[in-house]
Amino acid sequence: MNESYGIRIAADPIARLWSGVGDLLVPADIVEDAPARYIGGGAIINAPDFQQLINGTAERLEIRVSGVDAETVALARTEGPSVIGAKVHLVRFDFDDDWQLVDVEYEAVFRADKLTVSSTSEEGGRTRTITLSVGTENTNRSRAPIAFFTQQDQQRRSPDDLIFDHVSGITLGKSRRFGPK
Amino acid sequence: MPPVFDPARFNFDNQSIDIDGISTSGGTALSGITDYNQSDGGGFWRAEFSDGEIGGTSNADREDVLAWRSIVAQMKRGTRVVDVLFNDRWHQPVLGIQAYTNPAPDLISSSLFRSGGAVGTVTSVVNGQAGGLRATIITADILSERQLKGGERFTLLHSTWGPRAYQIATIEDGGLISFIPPIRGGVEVGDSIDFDTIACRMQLVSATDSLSLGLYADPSISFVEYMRSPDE
Repeated sequence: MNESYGIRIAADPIARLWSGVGDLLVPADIVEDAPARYIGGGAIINAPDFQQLINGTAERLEIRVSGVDAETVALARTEGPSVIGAKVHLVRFDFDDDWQLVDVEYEAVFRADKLTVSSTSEEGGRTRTITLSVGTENTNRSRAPIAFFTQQDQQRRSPDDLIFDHVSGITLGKSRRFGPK
Repeated sequence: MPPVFDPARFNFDNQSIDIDGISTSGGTALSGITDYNQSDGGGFWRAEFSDGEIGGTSNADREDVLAWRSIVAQMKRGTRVVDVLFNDRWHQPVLGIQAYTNPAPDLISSSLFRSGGAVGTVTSVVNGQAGGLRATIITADILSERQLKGGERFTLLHSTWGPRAYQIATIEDGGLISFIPPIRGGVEVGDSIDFDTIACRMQLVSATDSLSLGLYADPSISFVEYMRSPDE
Protein backbone atom coordinates (compact mmCIF):
# COMPACT_ATOMS: atom_id res chain seq x y z
CA MET A 1 0.00 0.00 0.00
CA ASN A 2 1.32 3.37 -0.96
CA GLU A 3 -0.14 6.76 -0.47
CA SER A 4 0.24 10.29 -1.67
CA TYR A 5 -1.43 13.46 -0.59
CA GLY A 6 -3.06 16.31 -2.39
CA ILE A 7 -4.78 19.59 -1.86
CA ARG A 8 -8.01 20.67 -3.50
CA ILE A 9 -8.83 24.36 -3.30
CA ALA A 10 -12.35 25.17 -4.42
CA ALA A 11 -11.44 28.51 -5.96
CA ASP A 12 -12.71 29.41 -9.39
CA PRO A 13 -11.46 27.47 -11.27
CA ILE A 14 -10.75 24.68 -8.79
CA ALA A 15 -7.07 24.10 -8.09
CA ARG A 16 -5.99 20.52 -7.53
CA LEU A 17 -2.41 19.68 -6.64
CA TRP A 18 -0.92 16.39 -5.58
CA SER A 19 2.47 15.30 -4.40
CA GLY A 20 3.33 12.86 -7.17
CA VAL A 21 4.62 13.29 -10.69
CA GLY A 22 2.30 13.92 -13.60
CA ASP A 23 -1.45 13.92 -13.81
CA LEU A 24 -3.73 11.90 -11.59
CA LEU A 25 -7.34 11.35 -12.56
CA VAL A 26 -9.85 10.82 -9.79
CA PRO A 27 -13.36 9.57 -10.41
CA ALA A 28 -16.47 11.49 -9.45
CA ASP A 29 -17.24 11.17 -5.75
CA ILE A 30 -18.81 13.07 -2.89
CA VAL A 31 -16.64 16.08 -3.58
CA GLU A 32 -16.13 15.97 -7.33
CA ASP A 33 -19.17 16.17 -9.60
CA ALA A 34 -17.22 14.75 -12.50
CA PRO A 35 -13.89 12.99 -12.94
CA ALA A 36 -11.18 15.47 -12.14
CA ARG A 37 -7.49 15.88 -12.76
CA TYR A 38 -4.92 16.56 -10.08
CA ILE A 39 -1.75 18.22 -11.30
CA GLY A 40 1.50 16.84 -9.97
CA GLY A 41 5.01 18.06 -10.20
CA GLY A 42 6.20 18.94 -6.77
CA ALA A 43 4.52 22.32 -6.61
CA ILE A 44 3.54 21.61 -3.03
CA ILE A 45 6.44 22.52 -0.80
CA ASN A 46 4.93 21.76 2.50
CA ALA A 47 1.65 20.28 3.57
CA PRO A 48 1.15 20.56 7.28
CA ASP A 49 0.22 18.05 9.90
CA PHE A 50 -3.32 18.37 11.00
CA GLN A 51 -5.45 16.89 13.71
CA GLN A 52 -7.82 14.23 12.66
CA LEU A 53 -10.08 14.28 15.62
CA ILE A 54 -13.70 14.43 16.39
CA ASN A 55 -14.18 17.37 18.71
CA GLY A 56 -10.65 18.50 17.96
CA THR A 57 -9.67 22.04 18.67
CA ALA A 58 -9.84 24.75 16.05
CA GLU A 59 -6.72 24.82 13.98
CA ARG A 60 -4.92 27.11 11.64
CA LEU A 61 -2.56 25.61 9.12
CA GLU A 62 -0.33 26.92 6.44
CA ILE A 63 0.09 25.25 3.09
CA ARG A 64 3.08 26.37 1.14
CA VAL A 65 3.39 26.00 -2.60
CA SER A 66 5.99 27.02 -5.13
CA GLY A 67 5.67 30.64 -6.14
CA VAL A 68 7.00 30.27 -9.66
CA ASP A 69 4.96 27.37 -10.92
CA ALA A 70 2.46 28.65 -13.50
CA GLU A 71 -0.46 26.92 -11.85
CA THR A 72 0.13 28.32 -8.40
CA VAL A 73 1.03 31.80 -9.60
CA ALA A 74 -2.38 31.91 -11.26
CA LEU A 75 -3.86 30.85 -7.95
CA ALA A 76 -2.27 33.81 -6.23
CA ARG A 77 -2.75 36.45 -8.88
CA THR A 78 -5.82 35.99 -11.00
CA GLU A 79 -7.80 33.70 -8.78
CA GLY A 80 -6.72 35.31 -5.55
CA PRO A 81 -10.09 36.87 -4.63
CA SER A 82 -12.01 33.65 -5.14
CA VAL A 83 -9.58 31.73 -2.94
CA ILE A 84 -10.65 33.58 0.18
CA GLY A 85 -13.28 31.57 1.97
CA ALA A 86 -12.94 28.68 -0.45
CA LYS A 87 -13.22 25.16 0.81
CA VAL A 88 -9.88 23.41 1.07
CA HIS A 89 -9.71 19.64 1.16
CA LEU A 90 -6.63 17.78 2.25
CA VAL A 91 -6.76 14.58 0.27
CA ARG A 92 -5.04 11.27 0.68
CA PHE A 93 -4.68 8.96 -2.30
CA ASP A 94 -4.18 5.27 -1.67
CA PHE A 95 -2.42 3.19 -4.28
CA ASP A 96 -1.95 -0.53 -4.63
CA ASP A 97 1.44 -2.13 -5.17
CA ASP A 98 1.27 -1.39 -8.88
CA TRP A 99 0.63 2.26 -8.16
CA GLN A 100 -2.96 2.13 -9.27
CA LEU A 101 -5.35 4.42 -7.48
CA VAL A 102 -7.61 2.46 -5.17
CA ASP A 103 -9.05 5.06 -2.87
CA VAL A 104 -9.46 8.79 -2.51
CA GLU A 105 -9.90 9.89 1.06
CA TYR A 106 -10.80 13.44 2.01
CA GLU A 107 -9.10 13.60 5.34
CA ALA A 108 -9.96 17.10 6.41
CA VAL A 109 -11.85 20.14 5.23
CA PHE A 110 -10.68 23.64 5.91
CA ARG A 111 -11.63 27.13 4.87
CA ALA A 112 -9.07 29.25 3.06
CA ASP A 113 -8.49 32.44 4.95
CA LYS A 114 -5.73 34.42 3.45
CA LEU A 115 -3.18 34.05 0.74
CA THR A 116 0.25 35.56 1.15
CA VAL A 117 3.10 35.69 -1.27
CA SER A 118 6.47 35.80 0.34
CA SER A 119 9.55 36.68 -1.60
CA THR A 120 12.87 36.58 0.16
CA SER A 121 16.32 37.36 -1.06
CA GLU A 122 18.85 34.59 -0.75
CA GLU A 123 22.36 34.00 -1.86
CA GLY A 124 22.22 33.53 -5.58
CA GLY A 125 18.62 34.46 -6.08
CA ARG A 126 15.23 34.92 -4.56
CA THR A 127 12.79 32.44 -3.15
CA ARG A 128 9.13 33.06 -3.70
CA THR A 129 6.52 30.95 -2.06
CA ILE A 130 2.79 31.26 -1.82
CA THR A 131 1.32 30.48 1.54
CA LEU A 132 -2.32 29.68 1.94
CA SER A 133 -3.53 30.01 5.47
CA VAL A 134 -6.43 27.74 6.17
CA GLY A 135 -8.51 27.24 9.25
CA THR A 136 -11.31 25.06 10.44
CA GLU A 137 -14.80 26.55 10.42
CA ASN A 138 -14.47 27.69 14.01
CA THR A 139 -10.99 29.18 13.74
CA ASN A 140 -11.33 32.94 14.01
CA ARG A 141 -9.13 35.93 13.74
CA SER A 142 -9.54 37.37 17.20
CA ARG A 143 -6.46 39.01 18.64
CA ALA A 144 -4.19 37.03 20.82
CA PRO A 145 -4.47 38.03 24.47
CA ILE A 146 -1.78 40.39 25.73
CA ALA A 147 0.99 38.28 27.06
CA PHE A 148 3.39 40.89 28.45
CA PHE A 149 2.83 44.22 30.11
CA THR A 150 5.51 46.76 29.48
CA GLN A 151 5.88 50.27 30.64
CA GLN A 152 6.13 51.54 27.07
CA ASP A 153 2.80 49.97 26.16
CA GLN A 154 1.15 51.35 29.23
CA GLN A 155 2.56 54.85 28.67
CA ARG A 156 1.10 54.81 25.21
CA ARG A 157 -2.29 53.88 26.57
CA SER A 158 -2.27 56.30 29.53
CA PRO A 159 0.84 58.47 29.82
CA ASP A 160 0.49 59.26 33.51
CA ASP A 161 0.07 55.69 34.73
CA LEU A 162 3.17 54.44 36.51
CA ILE A 163 1.98 50.96 37.37
CA PHE A 164 4.45 49.17 35.11
CA ASP A 165 7.38 51.48 35.83
CA HIS A 166 9.62 48.72 37.11
CA VAL A 167 8.65 46.04 34.63
CA SER A 168 11.71 46.64 32.51
CA GLY A 169 13.82 45.79 35.51
CA ILE A 170 12.35 42.36 35.69
CA THR A 171 14.02 39.73 33.63
CA LEU A 172 12.92 36.20 33.10
CA GLY A 173 13.63 34.01 36.08
CA LYS A 174 14.23 36.88 38.46
CA SER A 175 12.13 36.99 41.60
CA ARG A 176 11.20 40.29 43.22
CA ARG A 177 10.62 40.51 46.90
CA PHE A 178 7.65 42.45 48.04
CA GLY A 179 6.85 43.98 51.40
CA PRO A 180 9.17 45.74 53.87
CA LYS A 181 12.87 45.14 53.52
CA MET B 1 12.88 20.42 -29.31
CA PRO B 2 14.78 20.50 -26.03
CA PRO B 3 18.54 20.11 -26.18
CA VAL B 4 20.01 16.63 -25.75
CA PHE B 5 22.58 15.98 -23.02
CA ASP B 6 24.83 13.08 -23.93
CA PRO B 7 26.97 12.10 -20.91
CA ALA B 8 29.22 9.90 -23.06
CA ARG B 9 30.76 13.01 -24.46
CA PHE B 10 32.09 14.31 -21.15
CA ASN B 11 33.78 11.21 -19.67
CA PHE B 12 32.18 11.24 -16.26
CA ASP B 13 33.98 9.09 -13.69
CA ASN B 14 30.87 8.65 -11.63
CA GLN B 15 27.35 8.52 -12.79
CA SER B 16 24.24 7.50 -11.03
CA ILE B 17 20.99 7.22 -12.91
CA ASP B 18 18.22 5.79 -10.85
CA ILE B 19 14.66 6.07 -9.73
CA ASP B 20 14.36 8.17 -6.65
CA GLY B 21 11.47 8.45 -4.28
CA ILE B 22 10.06 10.24 -1.31
CA SER B 23 8.72 8.19 1.53
CA THR B 24 6.58 8.71 4.56
CA SER B 25 7.65 6.82 7.63
CA GLY B 26 5.57 5.67 10.51
CA GLY B 27 8.28 6.08 13.08
CA THR B 28 10.53 3.44 14.50
CA ALA B 29 8.82 0.62 16.31
CA LEU B 30 10.06 -1.07 19.48
CA SER B 31 11.49 -3.88 17.41
CA GLY B 32 13.73 -1.39 15.65
CA ILE B 33 12.14 -1.50 12.26
CA THR B 34 10.66 1.50 10.56
CA ASP B 35 7.61 1.29 8.36
CA TYR B 36 7.69 3.21 5.13
CA ASN B 37 5.37 3.94 2.36
CA GLN B 38 6.14 5.89 -0.72
CA SER B 39 4.39 9.21 -1.12
CA ASP B 40 5.68 10.41 -4.48
CA GLY B 41 3.13 8.59 -6.62
CA GLY B 42 5.57 6.02 -8.00
CA GLY B 43 9.05 7.49 -8.15
CA PHE B 44 10.93 9.70 -10.53
CA TRP B 45 14.28 9.66 -12.29
CA ARG B 46 17.33 11.31 -10.93
CA ALA B 47 20.63 11.44 -12.80
CA GLU B 48 23.87 12.60 -11.26
CA PHE B 49 27.12 12.89 -13.11
CA SER B 50 30.35 13.90 -11.48
CA ASP B 51 34.06 14.18 -12.15
CA GLY B 52 33.83 14.59 -15.87
CA GLU B 53 37.03 15.03 -17.76
CA ILE B 54 36.94 17.45 -20.57
CA GLY B 55 39.23 20.04 -22.02
CA GLY B 56 42.64 19.79 -23.58
CA THR B 57 44.58 20.91 -26.55
CA SER B 58 43.30 18.66 -29.31
CA ASN B 59 40.51 19.58 -31.66
CA ALA B 60 38.25 16.90 -30.19
CA ASP B 61 38.82 18.28 -26.69
CA ARG B 62 38.00 21.73 -27.93
CA GLU B 63 34.74 20.51 -29.37
CA ASP B 64 33.81 18.75 -26.15
CA VAL B 65 34.28 21.97 -24.24
CA LEU B 66 32.23 23.90 -26.75
CA ALA B 67 29.53 21.23 -26.60
CA TRP B 68 29.43 21.58 -22.81
CA ARG B 69 29.15 25.33 -22.97
CA SER B 70 26.49 25.10 -25.63
CA ILE B 71 24.31 22.70 -23.65
CA VAL B 72 24.73 24.79 -20.52
CA ALA B 73 23.66 27.87 -22.43
CA GLN B 74 20.65 26.05 -23.82
CA MET B 75 19.49 24.93 -20.41
CA LYS B 76 19.35 28.54 -19.29
CA ARG B 77 20.26 27.85 -15.67
CA GLY B 78 17.74 25.09 -15.31
CA THR B 79 14.66 26.91 -16.50
CA ARG B 80 14.52 24.83 -19.67
CA VAL B 81 14.17 21.10 -19.95
CA VAL B 82 16.77 18.81 -21.47
CA ASP B 83 16.59 15.26 -22.79
CA VAL B 84 19.24 13.24 -20.96
CA LEU B 85 20.60 10.11 -22.62
CA PHE B 86 21.29 7.19 -20.29
CA ASN B 87 23.83 5.36 -22.51
CA ASP B 88 23.75 1.97 -20.87
CA ARG B 89 23.65 -0.27 -23.87
CA TRP B 90 25.28 -3.26 -22.21
CA HIS B 91 22.28 -3.76 -20.00
CA GLN B 92 19.81 -3.50 -22.81
CA PRO B 93 18.39 -6.43 -24.80
CA VAL B 94 19.95 -5.13 -27.98
CA LEU B 95 20.24 -6.75 -31.40
CA GLY B 96 23.50 -7.44 -33.20
CA ILE B 97 25.96 -5.16 -34.86
CA GLN B 98 24.93 -2.57 -37.40
CA ALA B 99 27.10 -0.20 -39.39
CA TYR B 100 26.35 3.47 -39.56
CA THR B 101 28.05 6.50 -41.01
CA ASN B 102 30.56 8.20 -38.78
CA PRO B 103 29.04 11.59 -38.05
CA ALA B 104 32.53 13.08 -37.76
CA PRO B 105 34.64 11.15 -40.28
CA ASP B 106 38.28 10.81 -39.35
CA LEU B 107 41.30 9.26 -41.05
CA ILE B 108 40.58 5.80 -39.72
CA SER B 109 37.04 5.18 -40.65
CA SER B 110 34.06 6.71 -42.28
CA SER B 111 31.70 4.21 -40.75
CA LEU B 112 31.15 3.05 -37.20
CA PHE B 113 29.33 0.11 -35.69
CA ARG B 114 26.73 -0.11 -33.04
CA SER B 115 23.99 -2.42 -31.86
CA GLY B 116 20.88 -2.35 -33.93
CA GLY B 117 18.61 -1.83 -30.97
CA ALA B 118 15.63 -3.82 -29.92
CA VAL B 119 12.34 -2.70 -31.27
CA GLY B 120 9.04 -3.22 -29.58
CA THR B 121 5.41 -2.35 -29.97
CA VAL B 122 2.87 -2.09 -27.20
CA THR B 123 0.22 -4.76 -27.71
CA SER B 124 -1.93 -4.06 -24.68
CA VAL B 125 -2.08 -1.78 -21.70
CA VAL B 126 -3.11 -3.84 -18.70
CA ASN B 127 -3.77 -1.25 -16.02
CA GLY B 128 -3.74 2.51 -15.66
CA GLN B 129 -6.22 5.30 -16.05
CA ALA B 130 -7.84 6.81 -19.15
CA GLY B 131 -5.46 6.80 -22.10
CA GLY B 132 -2.97 4.56 -20.34
CA LEU B 133 -2.02 7.30 -17.90
CA ARG B 134 -0.20 5.90 -14.86
CA ALA B 135 -0.11 2.37 -16.26
CA THR B 136 2.55 0.10 -14.79
CA ILE B 137 1.87 -3.13 -16.65
CA ILE B 138 1.86 -3.58 -20.41
CA THR B 139 2.38 -6.36 -22.89
CA ALA B 140 4.53 -5.84 -25.93
CA ASP B 141 5.88 -7.44 -29.07
CA ILE B 142 9.63 -7.18 -28.84
CA LEU B 143 12.21 -8.19 -31.38
CA SER B 144 15.51 -8.40 -29.62
CA GLU B 145 18.65 -10.43 -29.41
CA ARG B 146 18.45 -11.14 -25.74
CA GLN B 147 15.45 -12.11 -23.76
CA LEU B 148 14.00 -9.60 -21.35
CA LYS B 149 14.87 -10.51 -17.78
CA GLY B 150 13.72 -7.50 -15.83
CA GLY B 151 15.93 -4.56 -14.99
CA GLU B 152 16.12 -3.31 -18.56
CA ARG B 153 15.10 0.21 -19.35
CA PHE B 154 13.04 1.52 -22.18
CA THR B 155 11.80 4.80 -23.50
CA LEU B 156 8.33 5.75 -24.59
CA LEU B 157 7.93 8.92 -26.56
CA HIS B 158 4.80 10.86 -25.68
CA SER B 159 3.59 13.67 -27.89
CA THR B 160 3.63 16.30 -25.17
CA TRP B 161 5.53 14.73 -22.26
CA GLY B 162 8.44 13.87 -24.54
CA PRO B 163 10.72 10.89 -24.05
CA ARG B 164 10.36 9.24 -20.65
CA ALA B 165 12.39 6.36 -19.33
CA TYR B 166 10.96 3.34 -17.51
CA GLN B 167 12.65 0.48 -15.76
CA ILE B 168 11.29 -3.03 -16.06
CA ALA B 169 10.64 -4.72 -12.73
CA THR B 170 9.42 -8.15 -13.74
CA ILE B 171 8.50 -10.16 -16.78
CA GLU B 172 5.61 -12.38 -15.84
CA ASP B 173 3.84 -15.26 -17.45
CA GLY B 174 1.85 -14.22 -20.44
CA GLY B 175 4.38 -11.55 -21.31
CA LEU B 176 3.19 -9.04 -18.74
CA ILE B 177 5.87 -6.41 -18.36
CA SER B 178 5.68 -4.50 -15.11
CA PHE B 179 7.79 -1.43 -14.64
CA ILE B 180 8.28 1.74 -12.66
CA PRO B 181 7.59 4.64 -12.62
CA PRO B 182 3.97 4.87 -13.80
CA ILE B 183 3.47 6.07 -17.36
CA ARG B 184 3.64 9.81 -17.80
CA GLY B 185 1.05 11.31 -20.10
CA GLY B 186 -0.29 8.04 -21.46
CA VAL B 187 0.39 5.05 -23.67
CA GLU B 188 -1.63 3.39 -26.40
CA VAL B 189 -1.62 0.07 -28.17
CA GLY B 190 0.72 0.40 -31.14
CA ASP B 191 3.13 2.86 -29.51
CA SER B 192 6.70 1.86 -30.12
CA ILE B 193 9.05 0.96 -27.30
CA ASP B 194 12.65 2.00 -27.63
CA PHE B 195 15.28 -0.14 -25.93
CA ASP B 196 18.13 1.42 -27.84
CA THR B 197 18.19 5.09 -27.06
CA ILE B 198 17.18 5.51 -23.45
CA ALA B 199 16.36 9.10 -22.77
CA CYS B 200 14.34 11.00 -20.23
CA ARG B 201 13.14 14.58 -20.15
CA MET B 202 14.79 16.21 -17.17
CA GLN B 203 15.81 19.51 -15.73
CA LEU B 204 18.75 20.71 -13.68
CA VAL B 205 18.35 20.03 -9.98
CA SER B 206 19.20 23.59 -9.08
CA ALA B 207 20.24 26.73 -10.81
CA THR B 208 23.52 26.78 -8.94
CA ASP B 209 24.91 23.44 -10.08
CA SER B 210 28.59 23.59 -10.78
CA LEU B 211 29.03 24.61 -14.37
CA SER B 212 32.49 26.10 -14.24
CA LEU B 213 34.93 25.23 -16.93
CA GLY B 214 38.43 26.27 -17.90
CA LEU B 215 40.87 24.61 -20.28
CA TYR B 216 40.72 21.47 -18.19
CA ALA B 217 37.75 20.80 -16.03
CA ASP B 218 35.99 18.11 -14.12
CA PRO B 219 32.41 19.23 -14.30
CA SER B 220 29.56 17.74 -12.32
CA ILE B 221 25.92 18.06 -13.10
CA SER B 222 22.67 16.70 -11.67
CA PHE B 223 19.29 16.30 -13.22
CA VAL B 224 15.87 15.37 -11.98
CA GLU B 225 12.95 14.25 -14.09
CA TYR B 226 10.83 17.11 -15.34
CA MET B 227 7.58 16.76 -13.47
CA ARG B 228 5.25 19.49 -14.56
CA SER B 229 2.41 18.87 -16.96
CA PRO B 230 3.60 20.13 -20.34
CA ASP B 231 0.20 21.60 -21.20
CA GLU B 232 0.01 23.92 -18.24
